[in-house]
Amino acid sequence: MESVLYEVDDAIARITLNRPERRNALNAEIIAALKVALRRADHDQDVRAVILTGAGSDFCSGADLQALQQISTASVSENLEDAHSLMEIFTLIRQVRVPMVAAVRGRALAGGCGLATACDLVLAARSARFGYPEVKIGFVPAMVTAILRRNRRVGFGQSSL
Amino acid sequence: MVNRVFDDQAFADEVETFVRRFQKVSRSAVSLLKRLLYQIDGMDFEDAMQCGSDTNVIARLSEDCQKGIERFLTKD
Repeated sequence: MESVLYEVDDAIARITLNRPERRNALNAEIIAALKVALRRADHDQDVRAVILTGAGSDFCSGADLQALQQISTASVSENLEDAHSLMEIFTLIRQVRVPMVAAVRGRALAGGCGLATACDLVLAARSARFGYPEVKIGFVPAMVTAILRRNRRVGFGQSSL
Repeated sequence: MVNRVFDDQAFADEVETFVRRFQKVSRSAVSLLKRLLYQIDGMDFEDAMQCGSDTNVIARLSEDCQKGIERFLTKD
């Protein structure tokens, strides 16, 4: 099963995180596939907007903690490389030339909340739940802090439509 | 951080309707605007304004804008 699905329907690209059995938790494979999908959407001149969403009932529950536990025993430089790989997602989302719209149903937690926050627009189902619970286990929403520092969301939504 | 909230039952349709609005506006204009918004982050007012001015020029030279102006000026 592909970890990230990519489809285009009449100029609207849809990127779907596809690990519903793990609430679309992020691991190296899904991060790599997400980057490919983002670059693909950016290069497609026919695409007018990109929807980022999750398969199943949740958007994304954040980093796969099992994967995180495994890499935490690796070297500092390997951990830096792993964190950098996730950071590239946030910068790619910003670099995609057309609007990135997070469509959030269910849980958008930790890195998943970061993914949604990194998008240009966020559309949420009433049942959606956002949050950064990782602080309870000693982890931090560090990279997304750079995004949260400024709130441009209202400006983009109002100025482009 | 959330721009719109939709009822769960209608969520998929509402997302589709919302996103398809981007099909009705200029692709190049939206791309320039997205780039500008992130570019001016952290700039002071004067620098952001200069950036906006440069973007204004780029937009004027775009095919979408030139066609759009022509359509506007020639419509009945």
